[in-house]
Amino acid sequence: MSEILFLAAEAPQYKFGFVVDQPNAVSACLFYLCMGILVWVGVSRARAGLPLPEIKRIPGLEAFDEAVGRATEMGRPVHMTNYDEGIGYEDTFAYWSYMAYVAKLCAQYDTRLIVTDSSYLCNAVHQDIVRQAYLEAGRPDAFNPDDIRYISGTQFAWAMNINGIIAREKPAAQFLIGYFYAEALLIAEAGALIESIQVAATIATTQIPFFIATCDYVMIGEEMYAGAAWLSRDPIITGSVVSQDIFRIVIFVAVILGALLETFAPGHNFIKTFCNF
Amino acid sequence: MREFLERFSEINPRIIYLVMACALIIPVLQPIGLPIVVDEETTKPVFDWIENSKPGEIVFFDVSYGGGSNAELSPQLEAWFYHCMQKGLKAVGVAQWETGAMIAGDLLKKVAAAAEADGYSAEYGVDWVFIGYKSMIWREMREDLWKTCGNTDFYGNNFEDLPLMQKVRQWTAETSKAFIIFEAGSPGVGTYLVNWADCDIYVGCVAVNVAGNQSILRSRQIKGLLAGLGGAAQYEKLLGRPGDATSLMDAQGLGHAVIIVLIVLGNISYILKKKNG
Amino acid sequence: MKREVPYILMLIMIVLRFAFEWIGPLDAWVLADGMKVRSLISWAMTWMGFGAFGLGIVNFTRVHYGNIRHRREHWMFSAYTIVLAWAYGIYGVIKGNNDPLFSTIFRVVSEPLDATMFSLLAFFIASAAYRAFRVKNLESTVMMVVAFLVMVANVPFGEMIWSSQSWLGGFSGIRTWILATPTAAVSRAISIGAFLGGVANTWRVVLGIERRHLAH
Repeated sequence: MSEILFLAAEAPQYKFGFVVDQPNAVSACLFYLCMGILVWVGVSRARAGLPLPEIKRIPGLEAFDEAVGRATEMGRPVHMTNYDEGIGYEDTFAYWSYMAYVAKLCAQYDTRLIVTDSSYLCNAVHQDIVRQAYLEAGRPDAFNPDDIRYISGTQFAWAMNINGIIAREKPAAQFLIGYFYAEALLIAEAGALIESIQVAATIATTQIPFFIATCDYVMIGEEMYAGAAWLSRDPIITGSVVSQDIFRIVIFVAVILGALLETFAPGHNFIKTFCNF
Repeated sequence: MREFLERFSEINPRIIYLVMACALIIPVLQPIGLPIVVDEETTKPVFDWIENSKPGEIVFFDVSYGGGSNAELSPQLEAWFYHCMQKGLKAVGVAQWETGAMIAGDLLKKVAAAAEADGYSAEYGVDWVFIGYKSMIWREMREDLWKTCGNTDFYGNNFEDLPLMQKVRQWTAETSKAFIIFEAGSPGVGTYLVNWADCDIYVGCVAVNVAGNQSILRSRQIKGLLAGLGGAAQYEKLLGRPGDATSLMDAQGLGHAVIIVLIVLGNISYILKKKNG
Repeated sequence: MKREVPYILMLIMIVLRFAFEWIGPLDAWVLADGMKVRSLISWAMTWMGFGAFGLGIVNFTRVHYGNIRHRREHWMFSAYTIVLAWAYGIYGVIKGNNDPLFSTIFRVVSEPLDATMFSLLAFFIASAAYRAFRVKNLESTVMMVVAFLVMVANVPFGEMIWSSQSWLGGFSGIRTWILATPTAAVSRAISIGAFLGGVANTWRVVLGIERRHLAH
């Protein structure tokens, strides 16, 4: 054992004897643990059937049915996409809730759904999600795997392809859900020019103005996650969204208190001291 | 005239694109020479950092952009790097984006040659080194830069053969107190806010990211910000060396002016139409 | 087992990663040859990323080969894609990224293509702004006015109309205030909300509540 492990000549200073001596190490860990407890409590309450606060209705969510209905009437497809997707990304998980909902609607209305992906790993998951939705709607024959397309991981190659799909297929409804970069405006404006109904939901602060300028409905930041919970009607997801809200209130109080303390009693700002610990 | 204004809101987008194209192309062919005003809060701190640094100090830079952001960020990199060579600083570069490495690999050689032609020392391996796109294992890079970069630079040279790298075994605040990252998205400045919080971080970003970077600028997590092509033009003005950014600012200014005029006319049309019912 | 194994692997990686970042003695654990255990784990994750890249190459080839084999619409483009991607990739691996031809192809093909697509934004924002910035209601009016002020401040004309040396710092001063105060505040608020969503989602995955990515 001594051949494998040897100690440094000088023992470094650890917090509580074992935590690395870096700013925010302890406070960040506590934050994560508290969030984990809150999520667990929220989900447990949901599983037990205990009452949970309702998620308020977000205007963009009601547009989903309207948009798919419009596409059905016009006989044009529905297009759904997310650029910065990945198996481990939180907004991708939210996107899957939206996708399951839209896929079910499209299956019920017999409307073609095109899903474009920038991640081959997510493409496999999306195929499953959409296939499952068609199966549940009793229309497994209507599922077309060629419509769940992996495009490219490169930003503008992806955007070019999507614009081509928009120009050729002319989707009547577009759902842009997730994280986007510069390509957001390219695809959103292309959709706006063919007068499709567009619903966007994103946490990308830099792209929100472009979506607001080009899309009919936009869900910003937290609304994307809340929308995913609302659409999935899954009390478990609702439970975790409620826990996020609770922690947001905690952060809100901490920010206000911290700002007041820093302004009027800078030497006694325990909030700042704790956050830096 | 009134009828024209009323019908303006139904203008074909192609006409807008044509006007925009003229507004962007004509100033490039025939420069106007519009004044450039230096922003004291964003651009000046970046310039002052290099201007007030002592010859021989080591500065790091990161090239995190691709072909799409080339037009905005390459002039920034060019101006900043020339300034470093002018002041006798030693610059060491990395790249979080592989496309950034490819772009900078050629660009830096060109700027170094220009600096040498102007009588400044810009010898590769002595005054500057470009490591390029490597493993990006950040905490390990801080502790042992050589090992994590595979002991070779972007051009295939061994670090042992580069005199500058003898002084750069680690990337810590002791080696280089400040560095700049030219970023267009993700991965970007976030990497450094987490792993190099003890250093002074400067950012050169695309214009669309400026609003998002304001929060970290105001909280002093970054010390200065070059905002897109305008930031590059301002830097060139401070340097006294007008380049691509200065010549393109006319086009950008005129492009903005066209958008402003379109918005005004569009609103006049909207109001007139609303009045007429 | 098909469902449990990925979940267990994920948990192991999470615990390892967290432990070696957070627990001091583990962070400082050095092997006899001087290599830190934490570094080994980081390198292992980098190699996993490389493996994922390999998976992507295989999948990319499989998808396009499928298009060619079944002669789907635009199958010729799939043929071009496979040939060019593999040829360029293999050439780059053999010759290195400093090879003149390799970097020339990048400079002459990839960069201009990227730049062209990016430059479309200039035209699209013109038509989008023209269409969207109308005085329809209070919110859109406020948005239009703020966008107008920031745009005017960003161009030299703004300085010519209302100098930054004069009252309120001119358009430049107003823009600085807009960016520094309301924009920064809202950006932080949205980031906090998004981050909380991310943390909650991470816990859902860790606790096994979220299983869609395991094809449940």
